[in-house]
Amino acid sequence: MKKILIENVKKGDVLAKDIISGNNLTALKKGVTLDENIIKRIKRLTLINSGFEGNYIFIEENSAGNEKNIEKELSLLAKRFEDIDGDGFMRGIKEIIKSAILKNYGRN
Amino acid sequence: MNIQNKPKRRGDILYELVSSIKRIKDIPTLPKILSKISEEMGNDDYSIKDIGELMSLDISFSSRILRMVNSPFYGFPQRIYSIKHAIVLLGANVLKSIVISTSVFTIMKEAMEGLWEHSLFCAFTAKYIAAMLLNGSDKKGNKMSKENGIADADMMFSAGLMHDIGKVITAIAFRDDFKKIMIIAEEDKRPLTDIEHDILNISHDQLGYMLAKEWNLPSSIYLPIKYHHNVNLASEFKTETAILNLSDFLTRAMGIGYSGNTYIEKINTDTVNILNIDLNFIKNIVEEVYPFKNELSIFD
Ligand SMILES: [Fe+2]
Ligand SMILES: [Fe+2]
Repeated sequence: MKKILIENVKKGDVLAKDIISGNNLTALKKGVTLDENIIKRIKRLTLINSGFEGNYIFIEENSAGNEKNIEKELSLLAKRFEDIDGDGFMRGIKEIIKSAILKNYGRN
Repeated sequence: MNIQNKPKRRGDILYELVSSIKRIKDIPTLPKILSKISEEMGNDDYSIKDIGELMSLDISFSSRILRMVNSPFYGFPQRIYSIKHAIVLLGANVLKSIVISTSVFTIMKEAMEGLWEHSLFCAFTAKYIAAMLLNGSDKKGNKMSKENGIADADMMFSAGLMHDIGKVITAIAFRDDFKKIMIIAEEDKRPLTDIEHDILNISHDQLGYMLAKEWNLPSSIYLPIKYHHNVNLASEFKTETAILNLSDFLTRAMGIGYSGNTYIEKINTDTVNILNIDLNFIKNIVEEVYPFKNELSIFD
């Protein structure tokens, strides 16, 4: 993860730490891919916390390569489950893990 | 050791392994103080205060413990500032297993990349499952059956951290055999323990058990380690053994760290029965633990 100035965040960056708002609620979850609206929101919010120090936030190192990373993780998942794909219960477990991976990249 | 020569008898190999385990104590990164603490804890009337004092003596020792118990993986609700505080809250056995693991895995990082991450995540998952069963609900408040027995969450963390420590022994004491085992496991798609038996006559679960016993850890830690690949053979601590087996399985299924198998096998039937597992049970665990994958880098 790397620390960057808020004015330098760009679309497609991925939050590496939760952003907590002033009333101590999670305003934005880590793993969220930033779009224009979210960037506006971050700039607007008055925030305190670990994910937000001064004018900085934490983003993932290579969010630009996200799409590639997702693809890679999903193909590794398929490889791990290669031998037991005929089993219904195991397919269920695989799907659960697949959702967790996607969610970790801010997809649902 | 060379298997091409006349086959060694099991007794000889065991003897070699046990003495190599004993030698591990002298590895520089494993603090001398650890054997002192082990001795102290071997006495029936050891005092928490004395052990806490022994542990505080070594700075790297105490910083390692505090870093771990204050990490998101330990997830202790309040910050723990001192060893004495930690020992009262978590118990000497838990602290000891943290020290052993962090020390041994420092040596291990080059020998087997990913095993530390595998072990840490397995510990974290095991602790989460134990806590979930203990509360009778997951973090979202979904009710869980309490019938499947109760395991101590902190002990489960320790067992998870140490469950594959036998691999470290093999990697250190029998470097060439260890490499051979890793290569065959990858090519043959067979369980690692089978290949370990072929080549070493003993597998990492048995070695880990011997090691944990040697260090005077309690049976609630060393028995689940012994049976973590043979849940059906456990006659005591069945719930703990099943939790450990499931955590190991899920950590590999989620692809976190590396423990010597790329391909996963079917989930263990005994584990499924003992813990009364359905897909919802798995979903509760995976959804909660997977995001912590992002935190693993804090131990680099
Ligand atoms: Fe294992
Ligand atoms: Fe394992």
